[in-house]
Amino acid sequence: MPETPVATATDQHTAHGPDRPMVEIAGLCKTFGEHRVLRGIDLTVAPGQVACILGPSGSGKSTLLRCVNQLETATDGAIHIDGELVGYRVQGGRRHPLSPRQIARQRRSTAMVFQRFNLLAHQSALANVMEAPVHVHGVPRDRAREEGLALLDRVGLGPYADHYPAQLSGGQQQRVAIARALAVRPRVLLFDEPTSALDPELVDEVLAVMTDLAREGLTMLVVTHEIAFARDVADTVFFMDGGVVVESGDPAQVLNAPSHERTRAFLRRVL
Amino acid sequence: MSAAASRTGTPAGTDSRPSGLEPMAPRVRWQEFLYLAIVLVLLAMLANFVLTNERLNLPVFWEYLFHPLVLDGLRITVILTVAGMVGGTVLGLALTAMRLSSSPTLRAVSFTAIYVSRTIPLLVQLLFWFFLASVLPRISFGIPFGPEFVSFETNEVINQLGAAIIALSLFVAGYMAEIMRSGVMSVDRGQVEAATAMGMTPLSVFRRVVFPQAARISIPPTMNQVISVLKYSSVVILIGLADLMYSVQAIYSRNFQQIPLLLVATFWYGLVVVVLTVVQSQLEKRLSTGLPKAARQRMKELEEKTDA
Repeated sequence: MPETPVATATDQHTAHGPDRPMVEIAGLCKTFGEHRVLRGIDLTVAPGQVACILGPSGSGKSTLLRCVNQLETATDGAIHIDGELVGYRVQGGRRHPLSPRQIARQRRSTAMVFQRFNLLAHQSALANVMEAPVHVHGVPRDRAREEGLALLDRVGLGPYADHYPAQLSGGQQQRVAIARALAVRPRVLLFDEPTSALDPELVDEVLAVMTDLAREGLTMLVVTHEIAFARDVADTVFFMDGGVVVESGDPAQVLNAPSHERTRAFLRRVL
Repeated sequence: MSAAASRTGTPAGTDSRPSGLEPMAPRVRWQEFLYLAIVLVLLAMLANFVLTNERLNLPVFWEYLFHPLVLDGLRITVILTVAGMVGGTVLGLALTAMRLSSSPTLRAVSFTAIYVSRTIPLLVQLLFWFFLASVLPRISFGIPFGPEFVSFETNEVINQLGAAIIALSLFVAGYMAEIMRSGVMSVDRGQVEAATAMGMTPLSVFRRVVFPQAARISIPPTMNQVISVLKYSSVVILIGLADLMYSVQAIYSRNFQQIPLLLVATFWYGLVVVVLTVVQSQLEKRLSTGLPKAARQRMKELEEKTDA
């Protein structure tokens, strides 16, 4: 396998020390008008760990994820990524919102894989993977191309580099989207229900790629309905309902012997 | 119904029928012959009218087709169209940006400007700018309510051509703003989010993701707009600007050969539209990257529908 441009667990540890959490969310609240979607979320992910967020639809899982990369602005609470406060600059004892340019710069530490892939329709698979390295990070085109091809190889799509999204299956598009997310060497990878829009027979190819990434030690925050994936791959499972984390911990414990009735009810329905 | 007219034969290889059923009889659409006959008769009548009618005076058509006055007029018409479209598109782009901005003030300004642009008839705008000097004899630039730096006689800055270009630009701006807004809104929100999540600045998102896809969507309505402006520009005849229509009229008011000279104008307007149509299809081809064949085909069909 060619050298792939992905940060490994060792990179992350040497750069930041093993003690500081990679993602630290405290007291996060989000309201849309009258509707309180998040009601005080506390959540921590250590470097190189995989956290799966489970829960029924409307429990606020996706909103939580979208607050982490500032596609949504939280109403209250704080998010730190690798020790850096997200979305604000503290000065004179007050929090000042960052400008759109500064937010854009901060988003470079994360990458997101969406439920509906969201590949750029007017660009080939390779161009999609090269887009952020070239146009956000200023990587020279030749190097970005080389690394992009390696990444496509890695998700099993080397021969499809010149295909446009409309010419690829859902599973293939999602694997391109994962390659695109890896291309910027994110410190945290965010997955927003990456397999929910896929036909059942295409789910496994995407989960296989994600399992590989987890083994390589990437820090991943995964919103999913795939209980088996959570059980096998996650280091920590968070179960959300009604905008709060109802239960969290070791996947074997949360999934096999849930202590909370709401978790039990949810697992009965999905298993 | 008419689309099936060409499918009158049976598919090839009818011998290899595995089913053993009776062979398909060719489907003949007899009414197609009737339609064709009617059209041919009408064409023959038209040809007869044109070729045998001495009052039509076709030699006059040929005599004036490349007349210097006519070609000068055509030049003015093309200049008006290009200038009106460029001015209108630049203004329209600004209006679109304001309309889609997060500032309520800018949105209100844009909304009002688009309303005004689309409400005042082109003819009224044209005369308004042409007669502007009667209420504003001098145009000056400076600090509002303070000293002025430069000033001009209004009539020196806004001559006939100037008034026409200003009027056409302002007339086009409102329409182009709406065309571009619909293009921008047609771009998949998810792609915008994906680009944003990559860490692109809002300007980069627009340049790299929204614009290329919005531009493709906007081509057919924009080309409609260009063709409209080409034809609408003939209203400048009312302020005595010598465009194609003005020249033709000037000639037939002397020789009373109205119809042959109107045909001259028709010929040139038609030729410009043919050129524009070729440009449009080339542009669309270049910008349709990533569209699957089916989508390209569907776009073609939609176009044919709008052309019809």
